[in-house]
Amino acid sequence: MSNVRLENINKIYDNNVQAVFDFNLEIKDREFVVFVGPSGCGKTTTLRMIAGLEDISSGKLYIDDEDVTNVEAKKRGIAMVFQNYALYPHMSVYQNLSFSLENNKVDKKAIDEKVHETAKILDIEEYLQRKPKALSGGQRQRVALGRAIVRDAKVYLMDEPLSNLDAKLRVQMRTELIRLHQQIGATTIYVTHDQTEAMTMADRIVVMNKGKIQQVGTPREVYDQPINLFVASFLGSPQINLLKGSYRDGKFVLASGHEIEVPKPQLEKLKEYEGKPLVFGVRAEDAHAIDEVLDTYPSASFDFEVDVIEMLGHEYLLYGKIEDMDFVVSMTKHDTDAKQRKFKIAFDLNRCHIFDEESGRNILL
Amino acid sequence: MKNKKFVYGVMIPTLLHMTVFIIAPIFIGLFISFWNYNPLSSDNSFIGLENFIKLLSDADFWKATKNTFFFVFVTVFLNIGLSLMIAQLISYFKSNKVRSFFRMIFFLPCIAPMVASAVVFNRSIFPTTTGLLNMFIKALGLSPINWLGDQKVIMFSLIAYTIWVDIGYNIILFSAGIDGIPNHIYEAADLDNTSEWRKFTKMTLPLLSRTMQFVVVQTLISHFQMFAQFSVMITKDGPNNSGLVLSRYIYKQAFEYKNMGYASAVSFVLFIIIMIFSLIEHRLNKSDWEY
Repeated sequence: MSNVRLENINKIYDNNVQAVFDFNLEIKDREFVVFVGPSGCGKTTTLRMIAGLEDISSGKLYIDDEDVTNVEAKKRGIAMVFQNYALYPHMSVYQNLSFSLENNKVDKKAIDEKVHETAKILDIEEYLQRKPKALSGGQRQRVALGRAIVRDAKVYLMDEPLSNLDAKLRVQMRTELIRLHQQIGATTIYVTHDQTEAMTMADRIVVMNKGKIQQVGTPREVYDQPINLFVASFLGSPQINLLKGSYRDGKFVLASGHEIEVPKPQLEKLKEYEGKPLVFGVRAEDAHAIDEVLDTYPSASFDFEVDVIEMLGHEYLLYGKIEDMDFVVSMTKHDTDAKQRKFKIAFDLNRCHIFDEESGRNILL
Repeated sequence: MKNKKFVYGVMIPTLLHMTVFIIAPIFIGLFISFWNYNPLSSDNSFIGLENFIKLLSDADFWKATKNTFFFVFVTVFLNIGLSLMIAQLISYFKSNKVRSFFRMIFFLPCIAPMVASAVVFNRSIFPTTTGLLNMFIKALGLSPINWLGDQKVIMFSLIAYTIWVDIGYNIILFSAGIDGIPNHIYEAADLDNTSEWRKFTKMTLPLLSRTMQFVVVQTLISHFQMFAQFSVMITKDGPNNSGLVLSRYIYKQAFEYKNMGYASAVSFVLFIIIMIFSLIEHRLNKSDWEY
């Protein structure tokens, strides 16, 4: 098992498009790191540079403290699961799994043991003689995983491995992948655009946008302390509520004129932003209809009129407006009778964020 | 129902063409082969299997058959081996423009009419005293070779010319086949620590099997039927019929000796030979995979 270190890595394509800017990251041994971001944010490019499938334009890549920047893909000791699985279509599942071991001149008996062991872990033993076309999406997915884990690679790379599966299978495979990682404990870099996958699977999340790292941290950290507007709005479902306004005399003034008294510890940080356009961020679960919060933060209480209610089973999402601005509140069943259309809600100001609209920076951090 | 009408509508011209120019001639040819048929004679009699029986003891026919098989197998084998190798080499170029350039270069000879390029080879490359090949050979201090007149060499000269003139098609086909193999399969193979040779034998070749099947059948059929170079490049089928092939023999029997019935019998034998090889090839190459 190994650590991976990326130092000042840039990717500039031949047509002068820069896909990755100055990427710095250290991934520890056995860590499960997820690169997450919208399409085109450079996450797959970065992964492919680590794999050796793309040249690194500048910067250094270390695996196990060894400089592998210019080492061929095949010599980096990396296993990868591709988005479309990239199974060898003309080979049986068994051959798909054994191929890399044959390349490495492992003896036949050891190969056979290893293939069966892997197939057992992934529950694909009964399909070993089938060709990929005779497998379902989920089974192919497992074979692709199997081809990676059969190898005892130093680092495992996964490029959106679940995106071709249907929703139910995706959730199931997600759990299985986490379990597998706990079992094998391999250093894993996982790329996804699905923030739920990132939040549920990662030891650490790397949020990327436009080729740059936005924030690196545990799922809790990036969710609770988003460093900027992008991270705040990319992570979390439903999306964080963003209300435009500005700061004046210890108060956050919304566009409608409503004034929220900013808690004392935050005043200091806001001083220099007096009069500048700011954005107030509240997650759906941080707006409450219960008295406790209403009492604590009377200035942050609003009349909330609901248009649409989404019942998700364990929670309700209530979409509506406060102060004429779109707003969503999540409530558990106990909080409210979902048929009720008008509420008084209040924000938990300790969990709110204020962003500088111009730079996007989270001022309160 | 409307859809069906349309389908039949567009199929009719093709079916008509196939019937008139392909299926009917086969049966008419077979029919004629049972007759002593000469279009200029008024006495054309039914002779049953006599033409076919005569074939068995016809030394020229056997010589032509032997030459044809030799020519077809050597040429097709070399053609496919070389074109596959060249297509694979071309695929290593990353730039599309460079790949297209090389494909074009190799395809150029296919554009020229075969009769014309055969004449060029006959007049400029193969002549014993003034030919380009022998100029090189003489420069190396060796004695010149009678490329198209020596019965030991003649077939190899024809094979060399045929490969030159015909290899472009298969390069294009193999190139397209190789380009059609998804890149991620090679990337996966790369990460699986696969050598270039094993990538070729374990990925490219098996994944080209469909192209290969088409190429082998097409090349076999077209080479069994090759005619132009045998008519244009060599004189009277070479010394001792050393350059005589079945297509030429059919032509000679039909149009020089006016033995249409006999020529039809030879044609039918050639038809059966080609069909057998196509069927064998079809059987051998069944691919049960898809991307």
